Amino acid sequence: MLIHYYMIPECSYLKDQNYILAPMGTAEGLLRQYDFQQNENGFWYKIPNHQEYEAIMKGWPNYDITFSFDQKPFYKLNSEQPVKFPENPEFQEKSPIANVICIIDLLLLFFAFLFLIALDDDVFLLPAIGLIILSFILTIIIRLRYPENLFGKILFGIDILILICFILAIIEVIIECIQCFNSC
Amino acid sequence: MIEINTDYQFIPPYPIMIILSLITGILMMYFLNRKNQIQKNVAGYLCMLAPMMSLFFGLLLTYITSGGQYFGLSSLGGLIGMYSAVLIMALISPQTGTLRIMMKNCTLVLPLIYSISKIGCLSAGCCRGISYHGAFCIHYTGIETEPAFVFPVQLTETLVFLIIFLMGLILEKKHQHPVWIVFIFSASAKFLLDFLRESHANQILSFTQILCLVLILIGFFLYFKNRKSKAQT
Repeated sequence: MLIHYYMIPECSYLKDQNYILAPMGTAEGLLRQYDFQQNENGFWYKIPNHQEYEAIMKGWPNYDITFSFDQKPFYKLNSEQPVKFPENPEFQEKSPIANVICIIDLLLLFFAFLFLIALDDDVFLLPAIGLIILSFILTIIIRLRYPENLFGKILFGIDILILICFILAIIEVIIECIQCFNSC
Repeated sequence: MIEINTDYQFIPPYPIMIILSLITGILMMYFLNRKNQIQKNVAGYLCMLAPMMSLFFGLLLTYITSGGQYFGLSSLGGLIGMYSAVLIMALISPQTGTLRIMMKNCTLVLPLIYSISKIGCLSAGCCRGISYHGAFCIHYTGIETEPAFVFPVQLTETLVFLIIFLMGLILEKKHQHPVWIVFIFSASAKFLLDFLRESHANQILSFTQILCLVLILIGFFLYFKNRKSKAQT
């Protein structure tokens, strides 16, 4: 849900804390004019008054709401969803949790390739694909939770390449073993 | 009578149809998810995860049921993979309340994926029907497959599942919430059409049919549970 708060467009709403959160880069003077306060991470927020809160709840979570001086709150169906308190982009990039997940992700990929290359046996094909999928799921978690993390971005690039190779390999297997597919 | 020679000089149509079915289904699922306000990145990541998990579970189920003898693509394994991908994405998505929407959209597109993939089976001669010499029978020739006159079960499956998919879309457009109807119809069609397959010979119920029966029971259970909760509200 987005809140266009008078002269400050595209604010977010944090339902758990009941905060209107101003977008990054909004002029400080304007924020102070509308009684926004700054937290320790540098984000500007404001607790809505009773009328504003009721108007927000009326549109939560599927409608964007516009507050203006000359008319009643205006609602528009949105595609955005409830947001959590965002972490500082700098913190996201260096987040220790994200880095630990990335290392586990990389280890999974390493073992998957070990299965594929070092062990020349069909039995290890499925565990290798399983490990690649697990690694891919971890990469998605990093991309969704820590979108600014550089390690995560690199891993995502690697995963895209693996996905392309995976699909090509499956096509090759199907072409080579077409007579094996007796029942699907 | 339909003549099909399974000796293809270049790329056989089977892998092309499997990949095409996945691409069509996944794109359809992406558009339905976006239409239902699922975030762009969540819908996009699901498109990448779903084919991987679908193919993985498709291979895994055949490997398990054959006792580790051979690899193959199982459609029911593919179904388990698709639902698993949706479940995982719903769990890790920051967006709330996505599971029901993504499960519904996945159920709507599954008959389409199956319908297209069966054209591949028809061209390759796999999943063929019982011996049959009547109208529309298929005469397979070629070195890859044994020559035979068989019932066009793959064509029947293509048509039946295409109808189920279109029915689902029409009901969805009319806001009739068709998810359980599509699910139960799909499982029932798969169960019944399996009787017409060559692989079903000398069996009372095949493993696929047992799995289908389980899916039908789950479908009915969830349908009545859903109806009861709606009636209460």
